[in-house]
Amino acid sequence: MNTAPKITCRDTTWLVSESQDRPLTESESRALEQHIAECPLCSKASVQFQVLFRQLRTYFDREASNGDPS
Amino acid sequence: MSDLVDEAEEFDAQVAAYRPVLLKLALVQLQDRAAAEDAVQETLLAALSGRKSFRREASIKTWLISIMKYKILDIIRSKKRHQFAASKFDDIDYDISAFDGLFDGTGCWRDMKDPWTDPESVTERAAFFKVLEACLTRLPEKTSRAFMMREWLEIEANEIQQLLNITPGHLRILLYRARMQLRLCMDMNWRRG
Ligand SMILES: [Zn+2]
Repeated sequence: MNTAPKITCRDTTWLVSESQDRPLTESESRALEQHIAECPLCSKASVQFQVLFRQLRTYFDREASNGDPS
Repeated sequence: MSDLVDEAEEFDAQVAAYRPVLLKLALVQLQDRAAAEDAVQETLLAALSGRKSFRREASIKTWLISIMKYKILDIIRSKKRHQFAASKFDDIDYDISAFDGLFDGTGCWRDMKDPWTDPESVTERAAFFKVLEACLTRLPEKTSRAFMMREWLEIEANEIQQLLNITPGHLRILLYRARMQLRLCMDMNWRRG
């Protein structure tokens, strides 16, 4: 019962982008998680996106989010 | 001359040096030279009189950009903005075929290098931001305007659609393009030593 709809790598890039602007639906999140778990290319890409998003946040100084201990 | 005076002068000079960077950012958002100059001027004045609120660990540039953010938001949201809204978003293409080459016929990545990680030291972060800035400036102007509204000004998607008078689908494409292009640009230009 937990099988999410199959999506392509290209679909995942849309969901990763949209997750920054709106909450994904439950089935979108499941499809995304499942694809990333099974696809080594997307798991690399998603790490890159997360680093990018995190650093953009720091760069634009959302004040308290600058949690660098160094 | 005392150290304190030296320090204040140096600070003023550093702040002033960021004028061009700020002006460029303001121009993209306001599309009006005089309004952009005003926003920058106000930002610089606020910075010069607020030196004490500057946190050492932040870069001056980041601090200035965060001051200007609220000035720009005020202008964009004020009634005055009608006069700045000249930029048209219906004359650009919303085509995303530029990314076709990244995927094969079944929508699978052709290739993906090992992920990069977050910069760890202050120097490394500075280097990362330098590349990030270069990548940001390479975004096409309207893509950049929409993306910066979201990422820098933190305006919700709904409001951006209204401000730019574009459809949800078109905004979605602009933001997607910006993020795809930035990831690609960082991937090609950012490698840890
Ligand atoms: Zn994939």
